[in-house]
Amino acid sequence: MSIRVLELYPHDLSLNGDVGNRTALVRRMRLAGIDVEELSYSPGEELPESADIVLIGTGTSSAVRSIAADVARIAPTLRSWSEAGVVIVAAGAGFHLLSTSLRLSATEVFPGAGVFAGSVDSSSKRVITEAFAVDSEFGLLIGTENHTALYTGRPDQRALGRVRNGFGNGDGTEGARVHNSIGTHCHGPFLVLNPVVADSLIEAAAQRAGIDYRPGPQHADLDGVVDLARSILLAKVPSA
Amino acid sequence: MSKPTGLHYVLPILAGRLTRFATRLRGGGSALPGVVVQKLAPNVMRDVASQLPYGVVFVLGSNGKSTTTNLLSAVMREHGLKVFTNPSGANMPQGIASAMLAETSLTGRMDADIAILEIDEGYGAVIARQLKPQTAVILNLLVDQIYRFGEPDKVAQMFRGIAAEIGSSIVLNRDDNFLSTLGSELEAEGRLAVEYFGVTAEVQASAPHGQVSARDFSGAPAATAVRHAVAEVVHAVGYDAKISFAGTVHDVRMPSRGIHYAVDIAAAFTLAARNLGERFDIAKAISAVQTTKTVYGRGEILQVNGVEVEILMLKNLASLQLNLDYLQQTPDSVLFAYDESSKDPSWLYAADLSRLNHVDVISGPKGAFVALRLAYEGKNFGVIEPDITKAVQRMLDGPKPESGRHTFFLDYDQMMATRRYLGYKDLEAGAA
Repeated sequence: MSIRVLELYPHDLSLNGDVGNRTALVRRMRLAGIDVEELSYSPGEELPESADIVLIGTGTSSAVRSIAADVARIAPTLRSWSEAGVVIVAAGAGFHLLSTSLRLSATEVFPGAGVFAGSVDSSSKRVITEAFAVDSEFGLLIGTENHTALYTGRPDQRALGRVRNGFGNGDGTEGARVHNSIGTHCHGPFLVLNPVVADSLIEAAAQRAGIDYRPGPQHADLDGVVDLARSILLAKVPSA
Repeated sequence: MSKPTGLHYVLPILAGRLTRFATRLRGGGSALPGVVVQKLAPNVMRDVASQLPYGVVFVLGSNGKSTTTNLLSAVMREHGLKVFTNPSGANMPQGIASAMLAETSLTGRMDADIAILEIDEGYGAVIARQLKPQTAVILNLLVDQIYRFGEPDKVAQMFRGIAAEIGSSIVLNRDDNFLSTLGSELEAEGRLAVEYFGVTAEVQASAPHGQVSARDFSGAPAATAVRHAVAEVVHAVGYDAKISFAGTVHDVRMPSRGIHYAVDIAAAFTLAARNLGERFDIAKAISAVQTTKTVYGRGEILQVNGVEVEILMLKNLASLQLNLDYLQQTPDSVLFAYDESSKDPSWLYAADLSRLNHVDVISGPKGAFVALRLAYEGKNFGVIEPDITKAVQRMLDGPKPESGRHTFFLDYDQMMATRRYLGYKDLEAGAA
C-alpha cells in the first residue's frame, strides 16, 4: 500500500516554492516507512484515477488566468475528492483557484473549483506579513503571507483559524477548512513550518488508506530544526 | 533662460561634498550627499550626464547587473574610453547621485566619456527621466524579490516604462521569456534600435536548469523566427566559453563560471559593439573580459592563509541554482549564510540542492531556514552559528579542505561582513 501525492500545476503555480509542502509531507511519510507515490498534473492532462493527497501552490495572476479554464474542467473531480475526504492543501493562488469564484480585476471574474465555499477578490492592495501568525485548532500557525486577496467565506464554512498577526482573509479569519481540505495564504512553506498540520493531514490520508502513521525519533529531530526556524518568525510577532 | 554656466553648480556640489565628508566621518551610508545635491540643483545630474560624449548606458535585469556593468566598463576602458560607473549595488536614485557627485567638478563637469550605470528596476524610469540614457541592456527577468514586486509581470511593466525613456537603442536577452516579448513590442513600435544577445539552443538545453528565467503566462505570441544574436554563447563549460560574434567563434576564459556569466559577457559585447560602432574591436573586448576581476562576492576567490575561499552570492532562486549548477565538483567545505533580505524563505524549496551533499556551517539571522531545508532533504549540516564572523572563523579553524577551497554561499549583507572580516576592506574605501 502506498500514499499517492498529486501536485497540481507545478510548472504554472511555482512562484515561491510551495512545492515545499510536498517535500514536507513526503519526507515525513517516508521517515515513517510509508511508501509514497509522487504524481503531478499539468493543463490538458488527465487526472489520475485517485489520489490520497492533492497539493496546489501559488502563482502569478497571469498564470492564474492561463489555467483558469483548465481548473474549471477538473473542478467536478476535485470537489468529489474533497467531499470523499481526500486531503487537499491549497496555498495562495491555489487556494483562490479552489474557491467558488476569483476576481482578478474590476472586469475579470473566473469561476473556481468550488472546493472551498468562498469568493475571492484578488484585486486589492498587496499585503506582506513576514511573521504571519494564526491561532487555530492545530495551535499557533506561523509563516509568511504575500497576496492581494480578500476572501469571503460562506458563513457555514470553517476558517483555518483567527489571525494573530497579519491580514489573512481580511476579516480577522484566515483560510478555509472543509472535510480534509485546507486553503491558506500561509507560505514559508506552510507545512514545512507547521508540522502539526502536516502530521494531522498525513494521519487523515493514511487512515483512509488503511495505513498506520507513527512519527518516530527522526521526526522529532526534524521538528527540533523546525522549532529553530519558527522561533525566528515568532520573535517577529508583535506581542498583544 | 540662458544655458547655465558651470558656476551655477558650485554651491550645490560643495554642499553635497560636505555632506559626503560628514557622513563618512560618521561611517554612514553614501546616499545622503545625493539627496542634498538633488534638493539644491535638481537638474545637475541631467546636465552632467548630457556632456558625456558617449552618453549614459543603463544596465538592467534581475541578476547580473553588477557583473555586466563591471565587464562593460572594462571593455570600454580597453577601447580607451574614460568610464564613470556606480559602485556595485548603489543602483537607486540617491546612490547614483552620490556616486556622480563624487566625480563631478565644482563647475558641474565630469571627466568621463561614458557613464555605465547599473540601475534598480523599481527606480529605472525615474532615473531615466533624469539622466536621459541613449542605450540600455536588459539581462534577464527572473522571479526575484516577490515581497517587493509581487510578481514578475510587474517587473516586465517596469522594464516597459524604462524602455520608453531610452533614447536610441536597447539590447535584450533573446532567450528570456519576458524580454523576448518586450523585444517584439519594441520592434513593432519602431522607435528604438533593438538588438539581442543569446545562447544557442544546445547550450540552453545543456544547462541543468537553463537560465531560470521567469515564465510569461500573458499569452503574448512568442517571436516567430529565431532572432539574430549579435553575440551568442555557443559553449559554456566551467570557466571556458565560446562566443560567436560577426560570424567568428571566439574562445573566452571567463573570470567566473556558468551560463549566466557567459550570457553577461555576450550582453557586454553586444552593447559595446552598439555604442562603439566601427571602433569596437572584439579582440580588445575579449582581452578586457579575461583580465577583469570578478565583482566582489560574485564568484570571487579570496586567498586566506593558504586556502581559497570562493564566495557565491545568492539573492534569489536563480542565483543560488545557477551557482550550484556550475560548481566544478561537490564542494567539500561549505558555509551557507542566509539573512533577512529574503522575507519569504519558501523559494529555498524550489531549489535543486543535489549538487550539495552537506553543509559544514550554517549562519546568518535566518540560517535556521537553510538548516530546515537541508533537514527535509535528508542532508547533513554541522552547526548553526548565527554570527557570520564566528561562522567564518569556525570554517577557517576547521580541517583544511582536501580540495584546497572553502565554498561560501552568502546573502549580500553576510557577504559584505565576511569580506570585511577576512581583511578585504576595499569596499569601505570604494568609489562612493
